[in-house]
Amino acid sequence: MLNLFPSLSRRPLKIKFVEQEPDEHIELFLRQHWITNLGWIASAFIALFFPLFLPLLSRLVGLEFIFAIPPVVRLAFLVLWYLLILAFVIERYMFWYFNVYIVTNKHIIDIIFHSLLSRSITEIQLDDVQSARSHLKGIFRSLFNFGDVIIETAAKKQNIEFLSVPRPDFVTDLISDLRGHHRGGHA
Amino acid sequence: MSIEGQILSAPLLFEGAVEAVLRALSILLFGMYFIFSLVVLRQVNLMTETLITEAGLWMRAGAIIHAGFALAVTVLFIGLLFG
Repeated sequence: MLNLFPSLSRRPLKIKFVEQEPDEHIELFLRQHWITNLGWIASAFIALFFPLFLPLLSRLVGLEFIFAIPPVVRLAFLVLWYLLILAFVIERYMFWYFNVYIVTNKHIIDIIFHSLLSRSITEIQLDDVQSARSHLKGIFRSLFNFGDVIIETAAKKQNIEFLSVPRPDFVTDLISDLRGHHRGGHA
Repeated sequence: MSIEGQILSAPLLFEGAVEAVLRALSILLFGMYFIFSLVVLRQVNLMTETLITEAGLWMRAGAIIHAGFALAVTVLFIGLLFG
């Protein structure tokens, strides 16, 4: 069944990315914790009911002329309102779905979907990782166990931050283990 | 038309102009939504090529259906508003 809000996958077999090398496999696939979507979901849900209150609001504010507009024009703007909500939901979901953090046996990749018109991919080698630390602050984050993971590279040339990811302690431990195995394999 | 007639018909003319503007504005907004759906389609195609997942095919299909829906709604309201 299609999982709408998958946030953490350990060694996913059915996920690949465009610059993946033949001998490279994904160890960890992350998105922001699903709960970070609650804000926009709630906003969209409330917005669905706004047209129901419009007649009352228009009388309070003195905008009764709205009812002089022909019904077909009012219907057009009502449909436009719901299309606007749909556009908002699509944009927010795509932003969450395509902002991913990938840890492989060779690299750490951060795919950032800035907007509908721009995206960027940051990739660092596992060898360049100097340290990985997690940051989990606040009751809400502690309750749902999600936080930030900051990955620093040698000479600070390119740091990567995993924001609001689930199980940040597990993620940092895994990155440290992989880094150790990778360096041990090359030694 | 007498002066009284001209004065009485002025609000009606104004309302007619406002209605015409609202109709044109709504079609413009529908057109903009259709353009947005094409941008979504393009971006979904780009991102599903960058990140290959199980749901990628479903997302592409959804984006195509969404673009078709946006076009159909635009055409429908062109017909309803100016037909």
